[in-house]
Amino acid sequence: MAFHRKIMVIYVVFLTFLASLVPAVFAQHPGIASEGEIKAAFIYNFIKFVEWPAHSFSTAGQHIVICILGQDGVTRALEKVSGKIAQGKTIRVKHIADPAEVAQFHALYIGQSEKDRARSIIKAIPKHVLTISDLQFFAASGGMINFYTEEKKISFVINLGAVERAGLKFSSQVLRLARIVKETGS
Amino acid sequence: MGGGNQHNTIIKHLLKGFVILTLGTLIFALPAVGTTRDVFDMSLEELMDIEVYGASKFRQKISEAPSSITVITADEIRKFGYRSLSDILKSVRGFQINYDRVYSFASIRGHSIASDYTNRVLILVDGHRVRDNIYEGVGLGTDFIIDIDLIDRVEVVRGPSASLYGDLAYLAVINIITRDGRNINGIEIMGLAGSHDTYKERLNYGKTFANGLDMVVSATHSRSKGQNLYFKEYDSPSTNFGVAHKCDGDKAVQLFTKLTFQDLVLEGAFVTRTKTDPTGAFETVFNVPLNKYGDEWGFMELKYEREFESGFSVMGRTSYNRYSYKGQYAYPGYLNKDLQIGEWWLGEVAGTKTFFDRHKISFGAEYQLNTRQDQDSFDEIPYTSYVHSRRTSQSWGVFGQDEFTIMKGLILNAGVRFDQSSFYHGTANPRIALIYNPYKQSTFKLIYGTAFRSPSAYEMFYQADGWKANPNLKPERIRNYEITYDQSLGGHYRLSGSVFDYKITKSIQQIIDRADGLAVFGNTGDITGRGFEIEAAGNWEQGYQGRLSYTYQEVKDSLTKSRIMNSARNLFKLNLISPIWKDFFFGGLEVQYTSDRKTVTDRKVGGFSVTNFTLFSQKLIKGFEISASIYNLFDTKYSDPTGNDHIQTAIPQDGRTFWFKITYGF
Repeated sequence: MAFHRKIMVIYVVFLTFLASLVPAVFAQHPGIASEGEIKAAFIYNFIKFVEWPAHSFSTAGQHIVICILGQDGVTRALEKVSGKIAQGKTIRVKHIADPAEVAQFHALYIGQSEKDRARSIIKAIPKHVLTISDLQFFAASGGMINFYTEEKKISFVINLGAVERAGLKFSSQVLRLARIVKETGS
Repeated sequence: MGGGNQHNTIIKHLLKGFVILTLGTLIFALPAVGTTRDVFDMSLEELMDIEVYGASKFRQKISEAPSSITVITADEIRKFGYRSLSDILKSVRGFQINYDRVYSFASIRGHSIASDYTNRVLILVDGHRVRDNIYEGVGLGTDFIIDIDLIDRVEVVRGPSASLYGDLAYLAVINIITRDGRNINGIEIMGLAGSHDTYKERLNYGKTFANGLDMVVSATHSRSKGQNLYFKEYDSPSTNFGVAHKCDGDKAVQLFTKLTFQDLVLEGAFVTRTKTDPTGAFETVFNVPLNKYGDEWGFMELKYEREFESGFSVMGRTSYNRYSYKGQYAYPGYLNKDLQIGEWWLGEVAGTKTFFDRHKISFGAEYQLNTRQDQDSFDEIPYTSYVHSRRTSQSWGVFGQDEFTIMKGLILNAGVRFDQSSFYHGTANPRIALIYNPYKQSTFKLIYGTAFRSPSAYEMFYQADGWKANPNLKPERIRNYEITYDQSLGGHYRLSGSVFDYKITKSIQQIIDRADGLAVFGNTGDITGRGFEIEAAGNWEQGYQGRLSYTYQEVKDSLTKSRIMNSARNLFKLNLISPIWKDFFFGGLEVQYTSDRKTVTDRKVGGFSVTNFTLFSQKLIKGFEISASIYNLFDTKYSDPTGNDHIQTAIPQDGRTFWFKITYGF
């Protein structure tokens, strides 16, 4: 058993040494943002280019509030958007449990964890709310902005019908980069 | 040798290793956090140009892989109520599983030598080879190293892949990808009760921390009293009229941990399982609960994987592995014991880079150092030793592969690997595949490959009462031709078909030497296999999905021109998942048909079909997942052929059984 233990100790020391090299390796490269952070940055950009009706801002004062329902890789990264400025207003992030709570706010991100009730959530969302999700078929089933990954790069689709019904407008800066989808029966 | 003592020692070592490594990684790696460049300052155009480093790393589109591939997901595992890796493989096109009431053996394409410990199929967990260095085998039941519910997906690659993986990538490669902490996201508790006093508990913890560290820790405990089994071969007054009473117990513990930080993964897995053998194998005393087989596998691996901005991908891994087997066999008046201990180190480096936009070159090298390959067989009292073998050995391999895009829709994938070890001379094994996509939804693949299976230390050096060693064993070889065709139809349906033709030379099998009557492993003769497979799969909205496959195969001994033992000519498999009530309840239905098979004495066991049904509920109550399964719904009686180790030529299998399982996550 002594031989066995010795090998184990050497191994552990060796691996710890390897682990210690990690920061050295990474220091030489700019860190890579996680997929969630990149998507959160997309959302920040969308917020910059959406036009809400003026009365949307009466209750929340000078804030643009992004509500989060459920969780996934994006929801945590979205916290980092809080405090940033868009359209001259400060962005705030709020976790909610019920889609109805989004009524007095501006945007809603729906996490992967809500996969199974996405359709009922979409139906329950009031007007003037921008909806975004990473869920498959989100835009096709009545959501507005849907991420997808193509050849390792993140892109997004916009359901223009849903955007118009909600009384929102997108700047052409966003629209020209998006793939536009039509809804399938809702 | 005290069994408990050794067991504790390896657990202690694993735990110690994990603690030190975790602390090491955390202490040294934490300062690296925060160097992330601020993506929030980027424009949409810039964001759309970032490559995502995720699950797709080193991955290949299935349609572009140089093999026929099937993927089974965690969702299917839950909805079909799979109990073990052997259950998963039973559902996969072309697979046949045998169970001898201790071990399960998987085979594909009709080449199924009974009791080969699945050493003609390579099983990987997150790319790590899972097999021991004594039998070159792997357990597929409660003795598998990973708990079934830790599996994210199973990728089954058919045909020889020795050009990439070397030894044992012979008939198929099965890569098991484990779940991430992000996927578990909190604590998961599972409790299960099933027929024949079967109970299982599991605790999972998984989380991604703010600094990006992803962590999974899991422990599973299972036990089963098993059944009182009847074997007609023992139906006489002196052997309890053929009934083995309370001789079917199974106890197992599985431990798993995975820490992922950026490009570094530290992973450890361990299983210990003891099974009582009710069959009276090796001519032991029948109907005593003293014939017990204990297996332990463990590994700890550190892996580094990174894709640089230049498109250059590198991977390096190193691991420590250990296996032990303790067998106890009761003979009139004395106990005979086996004690095998294997320890080995694995190191591997690999890289991939694309040149001139058309050549994706992969290359790598692998080294295995077997620091211990101990085999003992002895009688306890009076002490008699049959074998006391102490071996060390090493093996290494280098490989290269070019994925050459000749033109749009036409890929030539050519690779070769050279392997050498202390037990065999150098061998080079190529694979050449031409992959043609005439339309976006159709794929043709033309594949040629060879592979080898080196004799195991057990096959070469093991001896016991009535057994002899054969240090002159040579590797077994296979040469395989294959054509596959895949067609997607309207996004919801997929049709696949393949035709294969292989030839095996120097087949390693256990035989009885006529000269002295002793059992020995020898290079017997040649085997030819031919067949085809067709499969239709569908995936519809609202959660309907299904697979239907048929395999025809004719596998013959070249000398006798007759079908080899245990090889079924026809396999039919049906898998269906259907929502029953909204998305609260799902039904999972499986039907598997296996046609007749020959036994080792050239008799036949009849064909059979088994139907399994699982009712699965996921959100009736928040956080709860509940499933109820019936296996072998119609209580079909059937038997699996077995090898020379048993007096029985076929072992009767389970009738109808039930499982009830609750998982709570928070």
